Amino acid sequence: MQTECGVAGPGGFLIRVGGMARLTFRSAVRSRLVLTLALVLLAVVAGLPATLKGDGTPAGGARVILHYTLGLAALVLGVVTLWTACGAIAEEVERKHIQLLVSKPVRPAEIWLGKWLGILCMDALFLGAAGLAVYAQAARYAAALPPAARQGLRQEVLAARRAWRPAADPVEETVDAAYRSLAARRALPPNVPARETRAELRKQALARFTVVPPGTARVWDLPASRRVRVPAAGTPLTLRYRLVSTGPGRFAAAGVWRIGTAENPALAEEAARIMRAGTHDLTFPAGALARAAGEGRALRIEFRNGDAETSAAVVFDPEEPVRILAPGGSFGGNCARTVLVLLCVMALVAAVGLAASSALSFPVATFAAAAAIAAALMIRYFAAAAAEPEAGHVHRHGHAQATDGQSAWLRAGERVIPALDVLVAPATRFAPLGRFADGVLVSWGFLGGAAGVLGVGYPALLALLSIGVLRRREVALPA
Amino acid sequence: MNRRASAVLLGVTVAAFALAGGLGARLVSERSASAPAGGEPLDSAPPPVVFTTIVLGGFRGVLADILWLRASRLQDQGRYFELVQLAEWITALEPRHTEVWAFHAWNMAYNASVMMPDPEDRWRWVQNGIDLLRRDGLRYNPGDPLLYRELGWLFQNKIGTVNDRDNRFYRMRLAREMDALFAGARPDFDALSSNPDRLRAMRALQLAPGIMRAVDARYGPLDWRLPETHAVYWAARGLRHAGHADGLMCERMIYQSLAALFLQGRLLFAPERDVYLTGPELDLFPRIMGALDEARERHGETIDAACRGFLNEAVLLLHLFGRDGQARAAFARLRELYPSDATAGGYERCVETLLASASAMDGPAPLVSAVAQGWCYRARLLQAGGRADEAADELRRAGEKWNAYLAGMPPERRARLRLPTYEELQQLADDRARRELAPAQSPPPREDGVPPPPAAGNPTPEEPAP
Repeated sequence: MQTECGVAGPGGFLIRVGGMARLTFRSAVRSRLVLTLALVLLAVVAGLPATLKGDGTPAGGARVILHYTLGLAALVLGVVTLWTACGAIAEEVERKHIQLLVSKPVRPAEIWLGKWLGILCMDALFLGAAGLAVYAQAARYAAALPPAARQGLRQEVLAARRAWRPAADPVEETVDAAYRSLAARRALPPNVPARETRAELRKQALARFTVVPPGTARVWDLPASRRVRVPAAGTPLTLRYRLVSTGPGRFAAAGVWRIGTAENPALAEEAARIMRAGTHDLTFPAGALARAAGEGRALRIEFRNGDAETSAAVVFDPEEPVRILAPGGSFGGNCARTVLVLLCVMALVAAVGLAASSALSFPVATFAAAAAIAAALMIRYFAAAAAEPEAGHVHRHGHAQATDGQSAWLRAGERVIPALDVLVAPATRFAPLGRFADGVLVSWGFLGGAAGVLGVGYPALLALLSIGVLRRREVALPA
Repeated sequence: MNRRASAVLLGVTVAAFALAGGLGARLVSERSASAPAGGEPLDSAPPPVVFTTIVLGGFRGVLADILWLRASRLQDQGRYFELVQLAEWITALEPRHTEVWAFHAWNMAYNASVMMPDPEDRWRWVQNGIDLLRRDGLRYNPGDPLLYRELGWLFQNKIGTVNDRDNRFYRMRLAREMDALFAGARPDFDALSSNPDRLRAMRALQLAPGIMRAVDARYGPLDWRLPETHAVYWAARGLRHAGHADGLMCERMIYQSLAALFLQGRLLFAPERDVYLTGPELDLFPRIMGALDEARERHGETIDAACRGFLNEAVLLLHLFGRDGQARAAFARLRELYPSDATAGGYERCVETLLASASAMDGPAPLVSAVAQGWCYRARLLQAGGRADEAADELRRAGEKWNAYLAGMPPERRARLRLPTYEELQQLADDRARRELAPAQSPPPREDGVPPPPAAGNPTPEEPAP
């Protein structure tokens, strides 16, 4: 596509992009399909909470409402966004409106950016409305509860709790030290590659940091944090930990959690009977501990497992360390930041749709973009399967009799899938709904990361690709 | 495209629709014939479910799989709060699959509940499982006997047995709920029609007064506060829709639950004082025998083991509780159906063997408890007959044996079974004596209907009988 730029300078650029965005927005909101989906969106946020069921607790009900209402709204809006973006350029080409556009002094980059911003304006409008509706639904839900349950809900779910984590366990340092020690003593196993030796040492180090056998204890130090707010009177603190195992079978573990400072390590103490693996929350009453946390002092957490007769070994999840959830902001602010992160997700969806729309016809673009998004969401499962040593084993042996062609495909797949996973992984990191529904702070840092990666980084790459295609594409062919 | 071609295509379209419409009825009838419980259209399902199942077509299976994966992942992470909603959606997407309903109800009632440390939370998950079947499963599949059996199983096994650490809590909560609903052990069936609030509450629990009355008349009188009674009720409802194989499962549930009620179907319940004590309900003997005879007629020797076991227990307990006429009738039936060395020696010899076996105190806990109650009750009978010395001896032996039995039990098992103390055994014996013996021969009742604790001279676990 060749266009001429009649108005020079940043002012002209902004005017052209703004004009394009306005036209795109107007065209999108006038579309029947978009209107229909907007009505669906309205029905979702207005009607879904009445049909949802939690686990019977006020907190469970609120979590389900927050997660599913905003999640389904985002899903519907994602479909609207993809549909609109896929049609934004492709339909103009098909209807030959693009001929009118290219005869004006507008650059391909301005067309792309204008359309992207127009779609984002539509998304912002709908997401803002959905966010407000979800906030209102949550407030209505809380208002219908008895005062004590309402207060608990506001502390646990309709909140923005900052996760206060200990420093990461020095697993790699421990592995390095152990490896060096073995090498110095000439005790490295012969004929075993260094990588495998280190992998074995890593397992041992992880076990040392995560397994707490009966009769032993584990301590975590939380560095001083100035970002934890002084809790309001009566606000409890939550200790969250995740176990990957609690001994064999159904045996329960029983231990004592202590939280305190270096001077007084037992400011608060709670016994815990742990029936299962999974995430656990333990609430500590406000008091000296809350004051220490509010003052941003370093805290010390200790788990002392019971003896072998009363308890089983517990294994903490190395991926999700023990943390304290302390007040970190308001629910309204958390809701707003969650909506903004979702807007960043929509920005990426719109960019994918526009990229497909730049090169393909409308139906093909829609199919290709939807398939690309679905593949991106699933790629990590394939990558995990490809990375499994067992999978490799099966491939090596299972395909010994396969043809060379099949083996080559499999080998290529084993290389390409992890590479694609690396490419896509940054985009899948920003899922705010779980945090939001859990009452965990969606921080400005998280939002900034989402804006940088989803709102700017990937769209910029896709924009460059699309502009390159648009520049070379002959869009004004006669019928 | 010219008009003629359009008209032809339109005609073909109309003909195709007419043909599809004509075949539709036949397809539905053939589907119903091949799958009696799942072939009918979803008439009873709410519009959103019908809409979803039709619109999604074959894709609803994919969506159900995705939701199922999410449920499994969340459950692995120990995050249960979405489980009820996900189970509801998955079952709504596959409303005809009995296994899907059964799995999710079982998953909530068994897997999710035992992960909760607090009994209240556990009970909520058991109820979530029951509600899924009772409220939705039966609405979509009112003619599926397997769903009734699954529902009955939750009452019979999850609430009614000691498999769960908090089984007593569940029993108490069920008894409290039913006690409040029926204002006693069983509803006044004649007065139900004049109490719309009670009828509404019963309808919410899918308790149909007509069926309850029929079940009570056939197998009772039953105490509707007990989980086994509800198992009988749901199995009896399933039996109405069952074929031969499904019928056997429902009948098994009925006679197993009745046999359990025979051992512990008389309830002494005072929730405000944490009293939940059960004793044998011997009046059920003829009804249980009737149910077993019917099952034997239909299913032959598959019932034999249960029937023989029940008859042995019946001879022993009826004898211990002074119902010699019924005990002899049970023995006669035992000898007729299952002649053996034990029956060859006659009634007295058989009773002697059973008593010797019972004295070993190594049977199932409900049977041992019933036998111990029988000893206490025998002492009351002896006392009423003016044989005070023999009564004291009987009580002393009962106290020693029962306390030794409790003392030999590991603490965890003892806590789980929550068997009555010796003092409570005597309360049960007093209660029974008050009901079954002449007023002059039994201790006076308390105002709240719960019998008084034994007199100061009676032995307690800490203070064995002299």
